[in-house]
Amino acid sequence: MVVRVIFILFFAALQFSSATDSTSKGSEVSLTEKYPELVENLFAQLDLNAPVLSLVKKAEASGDREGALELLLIYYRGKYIPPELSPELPPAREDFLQLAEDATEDVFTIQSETFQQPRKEDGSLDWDHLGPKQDKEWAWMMNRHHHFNYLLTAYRETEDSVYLKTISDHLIDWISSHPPPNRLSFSTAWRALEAARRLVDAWLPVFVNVRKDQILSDEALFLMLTSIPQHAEYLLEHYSFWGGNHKVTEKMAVAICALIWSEFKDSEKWLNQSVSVIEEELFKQTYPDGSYKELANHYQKVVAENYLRMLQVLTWKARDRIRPETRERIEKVWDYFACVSRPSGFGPLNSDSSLEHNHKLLGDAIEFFEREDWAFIASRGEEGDEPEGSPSRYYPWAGHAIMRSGWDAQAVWAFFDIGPHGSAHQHYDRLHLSVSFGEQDVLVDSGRYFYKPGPFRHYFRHGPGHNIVQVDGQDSKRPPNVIDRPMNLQRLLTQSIDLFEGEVNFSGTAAKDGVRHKRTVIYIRDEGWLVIDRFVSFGAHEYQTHWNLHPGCEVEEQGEGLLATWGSGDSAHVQLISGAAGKWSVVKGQMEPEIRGWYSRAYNEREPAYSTRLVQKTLGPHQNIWWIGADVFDDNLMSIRSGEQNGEFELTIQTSDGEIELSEEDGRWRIEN
Amino acid sequence: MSREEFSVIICRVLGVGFSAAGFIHLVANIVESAWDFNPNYLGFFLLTQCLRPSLWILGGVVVYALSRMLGRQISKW
Repeated sequence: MVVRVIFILFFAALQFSSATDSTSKGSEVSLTEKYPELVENLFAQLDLNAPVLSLVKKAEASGDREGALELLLIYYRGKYIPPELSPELPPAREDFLQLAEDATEDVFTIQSETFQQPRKEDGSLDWDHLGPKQDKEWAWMMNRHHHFNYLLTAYRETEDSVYLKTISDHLIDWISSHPPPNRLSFSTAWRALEAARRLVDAWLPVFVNVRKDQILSDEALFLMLTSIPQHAEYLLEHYSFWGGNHKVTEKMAVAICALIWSEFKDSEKWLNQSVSVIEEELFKQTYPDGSYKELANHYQKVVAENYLRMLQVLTWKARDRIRPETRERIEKVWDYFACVSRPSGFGPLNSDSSLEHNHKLLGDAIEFFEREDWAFIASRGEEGDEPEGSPSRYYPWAGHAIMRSGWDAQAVWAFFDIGPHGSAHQHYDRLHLSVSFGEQDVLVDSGRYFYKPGPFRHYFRHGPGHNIVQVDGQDSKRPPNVIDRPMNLQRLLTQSIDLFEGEVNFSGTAAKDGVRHKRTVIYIRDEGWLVIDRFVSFGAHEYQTHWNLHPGCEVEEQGEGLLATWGSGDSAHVQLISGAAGKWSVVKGQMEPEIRGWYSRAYNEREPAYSTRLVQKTLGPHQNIWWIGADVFDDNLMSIRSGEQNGEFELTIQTSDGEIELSEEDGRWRIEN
Repeated sequence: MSREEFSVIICRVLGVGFSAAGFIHLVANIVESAWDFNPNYLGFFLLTQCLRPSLWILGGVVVYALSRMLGRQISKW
């Protein structure tokens, strides 16, 4: 109460001093004359009974609309925003000054593409232009206004008013030309996700960081205020009803609106409705093991960040709204995000993902949940407490197996996908295996490149862009998109070895089944991986085993396998130690006859990388046994007895802890000793 | 030819067709797999290669056997 009174007195003082100045403003057209309807709407939506707006109410009651508006803007310029709600500007890119300079001349860089956005005949910016590749993604990104962030950074670093003036002009330009549609829209400006991103990622940092600065003109601030309830109502009514990461992001934006601009009459409604939907969606869209159902690291990040933001803002204003199980699930979402990371700090490049530096993104979550084990993971062992137990992880709902030797930068790491297809942004990547040796990624998922349909999208999304097997040039049948119970898959996690097994089927005909492919990955700690591919088929088939390598690796054929080298003499072997004779093909950056040999670390970026393929033609059931390790396969390391009965196995492996006998009987693996 | 007789003939043709298609598939699957047959996979072979064509044959035989009754029923439609 005392704080509230101090606020009221403070703003009253501000209002008094400013009201005297305002009378001396020249003959410019006032906002009430220029935008009478918007001003009317704005006042109709504000709760003038709020104590902080008492002077605004008084001016309004006395019929001085212009004075009331002026006082309102003064109030908003001085409004206190708690740190929990004040987003920090993202870390500045090295070239932020150049980007900001370009933006002042209508040249924008979005997702690695640079383009001069044209202007219309009336001089306003053509926000809906599809950019250099005629890709709708460009226009969507333009309408997120993310360029405000580097303009803000440039303004903060140089104090050159041109950057802030550009933001001001762009706000006026955009809001004046884009009234909200009264329906669900997929337009470039009002697709719900764009409205949410614009509000939270671009307008909010502007409001929080430079609202006090007069270079952000009254007109821009006023138009922003008129557009806030429009955005909130639009996102409340016309959100992405089908769910997914879009819906969470959109509702989160409404909640933030309600908390930051709580002077609007409907802000309580915005908060209540959005928080209940967000909580409901949390349990609908994430699995109990913490994985997000789209099963792509990029979207795991988007959702994890949204939910953490929700916890942060609700902790500030409405702590009692957070149910313990909600907090627990969000912590699991972050735990998954922390534990799937590679030794380099990046997460898996699975499905529609760009490389995300999971370690760098953990900072706020470590602080909020007070998790010292995540601090250990993010610092690669330099701070915090080491996570207990084996460093390998298995997520039974996501079907994601992470095999690693430790949490340090020199550890080896593998990601094996044996889970469902994913609820959206899926790739045909079941049984894909990625492998990193320390900070060097060696066997990789090719990434996503972009969403525009065509041969490149096909390559990055389907089999050849992944380390899987195709039969007769076809991908395996899709597993279910989502599951309602953990998949019954085999796995063993021990001190010395980890074992995971998954299976896919290839389409048959009306008269017979297709091919069954079972892949077993056995990680022998400190040694390497044994990959056993078993195929049950009858008749002639062509099997194509794909191994895609990171662009940082050089590759050469060596015997029945590959030798990958990088840096100053480091190497890894991908050896076929048992299997039918086949023919290798090694390509890099190939366009014809088919697209192969490309890698994409970020949206719109691609670079040539070695892509290898072993083609085998066989008539009946057969198996391939692969060795992946820093050293050549050593016969003394293990003995393999297989194929006696239906391809069942017995392995004797020499480890640092002694001999391990691993056997498979009736399709179940077990350790003998 | 009456409507009923015509329906019976159609049913019989369908039955023979199903059986013949199943038989051809069965023979093709056996011939295709015989070249490199592995007796360890006999169970898989019977289940994935022989079951479906056998069901086609069986289905054809059933349709043929019931052709008179089916024809009668169809002719009443």
